[in-house]
Amino acid sequence: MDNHFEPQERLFRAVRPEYWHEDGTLDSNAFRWSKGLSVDRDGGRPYELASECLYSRIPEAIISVSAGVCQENSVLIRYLPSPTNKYHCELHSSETKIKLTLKQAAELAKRENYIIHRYPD
Amino acid sequence: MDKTIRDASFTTFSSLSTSLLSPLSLREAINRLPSEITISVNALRVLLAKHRPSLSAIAQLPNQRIAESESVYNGSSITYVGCTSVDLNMKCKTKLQSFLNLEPNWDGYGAESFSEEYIERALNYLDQFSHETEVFPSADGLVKFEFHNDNNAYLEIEISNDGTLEVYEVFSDGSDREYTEQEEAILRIVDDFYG
Repeated sequence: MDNHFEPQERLFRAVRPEYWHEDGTLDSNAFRWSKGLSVDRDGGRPYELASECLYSRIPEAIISVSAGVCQENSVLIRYLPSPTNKYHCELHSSETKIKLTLKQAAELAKRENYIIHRYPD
Repeated sequence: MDKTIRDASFTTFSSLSTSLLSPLSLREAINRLPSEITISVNALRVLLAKHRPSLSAIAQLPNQRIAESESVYNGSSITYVGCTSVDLNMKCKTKLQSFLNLEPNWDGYGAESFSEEYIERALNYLDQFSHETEVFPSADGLVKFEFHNDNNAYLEIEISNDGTLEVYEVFSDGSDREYTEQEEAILRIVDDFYG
């Protein structure tokens, strides 16, 4: 794995209950953090396996967005593997800005742009 | 005659507001209305702003219960103006306060906790908003207010720690704009959104 992401590769994120709207849709704040939003790339794994691996570390709802949707919205995906997680990546707003803009986050949070792999309890 | 002002969807405020130029016209306006009138939080704020010097007994915020104000109407037929106001954002307020219970790493990825001072600021705005809002936490220990109108437009405002706002507005035709503003502009931005 390297810094190249095919548009269909999926990026997984665990999402706390605080980020869900009452109608069951995701709030865009789920995609914003000034320190870089951590996601796990699928890295060729079946989606279910990637989802379950993440759930085993952070037992919350699990969602994913495609690399393509990130690229369409100029969201930079940085591959930053760690000793404990070789799938780790971060979403940045651009080369020079880490936190996604409200607009970028809103685009990722559109219902058609994410898949829920594990629903909130 | 007792009159009750409620905050809720308001339909006749324009006629009332143009009458509210003096305590006398206020009395006359209220006398013309049914024993119970309906008034929006925003309209009530205008009313209070116009009459605050004389209606000193009235509570400061439109979504608080208004106290008895006999002295204002001494000698008039109105002896009491009360408000059985329902706080539009009570649920939101409770949610906002609950953010103080979020401990560091509350999202599992290292999110920051919320400071009491910051939440207090956000609560203060919540008290002043003229429309219902939703509030969401962010991993930076900040909150974002969301407003929706009937035309499928929406407005997002994040209050930063440095006195600025990050604003994202989507219009009913699907176009949008993103900008930053000074924090003092927050009420104007919300009022402008609702036209």
